[in-house]
Amino acid sequence: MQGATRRYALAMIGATAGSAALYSAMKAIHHVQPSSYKGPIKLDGDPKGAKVLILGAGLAGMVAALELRAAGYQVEVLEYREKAGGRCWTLRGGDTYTEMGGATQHVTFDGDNYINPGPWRIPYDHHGVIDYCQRLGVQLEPFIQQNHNAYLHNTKAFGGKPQRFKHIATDYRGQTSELLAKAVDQNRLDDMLTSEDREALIESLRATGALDSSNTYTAGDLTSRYRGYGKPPSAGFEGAPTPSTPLSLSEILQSNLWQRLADADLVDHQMPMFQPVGGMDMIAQAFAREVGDLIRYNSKVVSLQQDENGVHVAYEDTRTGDTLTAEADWCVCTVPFSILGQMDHNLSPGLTAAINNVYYRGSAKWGLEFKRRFWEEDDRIYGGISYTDLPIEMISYPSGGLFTKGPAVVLGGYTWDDAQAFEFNAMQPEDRIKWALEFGSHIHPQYLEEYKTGVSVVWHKVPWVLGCFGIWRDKEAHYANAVKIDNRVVCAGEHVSYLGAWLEGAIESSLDAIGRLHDKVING
Amino acid sequence: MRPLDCTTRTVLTAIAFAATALSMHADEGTPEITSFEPTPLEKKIFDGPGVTVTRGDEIYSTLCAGCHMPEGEGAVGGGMYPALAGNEKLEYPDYAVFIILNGYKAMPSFAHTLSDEQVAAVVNYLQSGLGDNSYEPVATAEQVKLSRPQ
Repeated sequence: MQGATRRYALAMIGATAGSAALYSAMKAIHHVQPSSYKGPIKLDGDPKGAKVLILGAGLAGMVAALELRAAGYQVEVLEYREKAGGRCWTLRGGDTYTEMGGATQHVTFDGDNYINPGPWRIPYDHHGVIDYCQRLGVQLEPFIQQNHNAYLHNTKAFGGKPQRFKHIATDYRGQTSELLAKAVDQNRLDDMLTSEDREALIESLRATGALDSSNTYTAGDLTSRYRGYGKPPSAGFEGAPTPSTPLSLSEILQSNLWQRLADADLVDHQMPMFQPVGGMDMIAQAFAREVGDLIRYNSKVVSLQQDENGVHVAYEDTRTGDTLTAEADWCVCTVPFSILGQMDHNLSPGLTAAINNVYYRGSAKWGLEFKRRFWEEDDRIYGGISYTDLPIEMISYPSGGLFTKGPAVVLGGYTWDDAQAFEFNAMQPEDRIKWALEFGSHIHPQYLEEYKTGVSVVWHKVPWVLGCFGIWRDKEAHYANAVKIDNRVVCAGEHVSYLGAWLEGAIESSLDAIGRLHDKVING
Repeated sequence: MRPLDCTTRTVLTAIAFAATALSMHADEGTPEITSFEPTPLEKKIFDGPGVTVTRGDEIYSTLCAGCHMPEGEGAVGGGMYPALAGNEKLEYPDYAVFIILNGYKAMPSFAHTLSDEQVAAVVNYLQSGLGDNSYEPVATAEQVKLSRPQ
C-alpha cells in the first residue's frame, strides 16, 4: 500500500461498504477498543432462594447486591462504615472524618461545596460507570481535565513564575516542529523518509507547529493565534493586536515543564471527562437508594470461614461491640486485600497468597475552600489543572459552579510521589493544610489572603481501606487466583481488575465475579 | 517531582505572610491553624528530593509514624497497623530490615525510598529509642545492602 495511507484505505471501506464494515475494519487494526462492559448484566435461571452474603458496600458490593437481588437471590450486605460508597466518597460542610490514629476533621465548607477525596473524574470510555449513572439517575457534567490557560510551574525555572500551559505547549510544539522540518529540509533524514513523505511531513509540521514559509517558529500573528497575543485584538482606534514573544526552546527544555504536556492525552484523561453533579458520592447515594435496605452498616467483619455447608462470617457491631454472625450459601467479598489479609479466614492457599501479594499505595488530597474564585476572577482559569514540582504536585480548579460568587473549593494537592505521600501521611491534619497553603501560594499569591477552610485525606490513614488502591507485586503469578471462585467465595473490587484505582474497575470486576458465580450456582 | 532549589528562605518568607493572614480569620473560628512556623524537622522534610532526613528518629517521624503512629502505638480501624513499641519482633534487626525492604502484605516496600544507611538508622531506632524499646541496636548499612532484593 505504498502511497495509500491507512486513513485513505479506511475512507474507501467506509464509502463502499457502509459504517458497520468500517467499524469492523477499524477494530481489526486496533483503532477502536470497545469497552469490555457489555451493557446490563443478564443473570438467567432460578437460583432457588440461594443466599449471597456481600462483604463491603462500596461500588463493587452494591453492584453485586443490586444485580443478584434482581436475579432472585437472597442478599445481605455487611459494611464497616456508617454509610455506603467506600472510596466513592465526598466530603461536604457538616461532615466529620476521623482517620487512623484518631485525628478528627470537621468540614466547614460553605453551602453545597465539596471535595472528592477518592475518585474524582470519569473517562468517557468507562461505560460501566456511565451506564449505571444513567440507569440510576445520576446526573453527570463535564470534568475539565485540560485547560490551556492553567499553569505549569517549576520552582527552578522562569524564576519560579508559573507559566501558562498554552505558552509552553505551543512554543514546545512549534520549536520542535521547526527543528524537525529543518532537518528534513536539509536532507538529514533522507534514509528514513521517501521523497513524497519528506514533502508531506514538512507541510504537516508547518500546519501543526505554526511555522512560517521558511519553516521557522517566530514571533508574529501566526504564532500569536495559538499562544495568545502580547496585546490582544480588541476594538476601537487602538484595537489592533501586537504579537507575543515565544519562550526559548532551551529554557522550556531545561524547565521540565514539558513533563505534563501529554497528561490529558492519556486515554483515561482525554476530554471529555465527567463528574457527578454535586460530588462523586452521588453515585454511592444512588446505589444506596436501590440496595440500602440490604445493607447492615457499622459491621466490621472479623472472620470469614467456608465449608461444605456454606459461608460463615463473624462481625463486630462497632457501636455496641457485640459480635454477631451471618450465614450464606455464597459470598462476594469486596473487602480490600489490605484488610482481608488481616482477617481470620480459611480461604485457599492460592487466594491467600494473592491477597498477600497486593500492597496499597499512599496518596494525599486536599480540599481547600477560598472566599472567592480568584483563579477565575484574577487568573481566568475555569476548571482544569495546574501542575507544579512542589510536593502538592497539582491544583485542580472546580469544574462546577463556574462564574458563581462566594466561596469555592479547589483540590489543593494530589500526591503520587511515594516519599511525599508518606511524609504527608505522617503529618497531622493541621500541618498538612499549612503546607498545602504554603506550597499553593507559590502559584497563587492570593492563597493566604483568600483562604477560608480546608480538609485533607491521606489514604494510608483511611480506616476502611488503609491505602489508596491495590498494587500487585507479581500480578502474573497471582492475579488468576484472586479472580477465580474459591469454593463459595469470589473476590471483587478495583484490586481484582486491570482498571486499578478506577470506579470502572470495581464495577467491571463485580459484574465479572457475579456472572461466574451465578453460572456456578445454576450450572454447578 | 520535588523542588531541588525550594530554598528554605522562600518557604519561610511565605510562612511569615501566612501567619499574618491567618490570624485575621481566627475570630471566625474556621481554621484551626494557629502557627505557620514549621518545626526544625519540617524544615528538613521538604529540603530536597526523596526522603531527606537521615537520623533514625527523624525517618520514623517522617514516614513510619503515619501508620504505626508517633509513639509506635499502632492503630485500629477497619484493619489495623501493628504497634512497634513493645514489639518483640524487633529484638533482632533482620525482621525489620526484611519488611522495610520487601514490604509485607499491604505495606509497601521502602527499598526505593530509603538508602542502606537510612534503613539501618531507622531499624536501630525501632530497636532502641522508640517507646521503651531497648534492644541492642545492631543494624548496619552493610547488612541492609546484602539484604536488598536482587
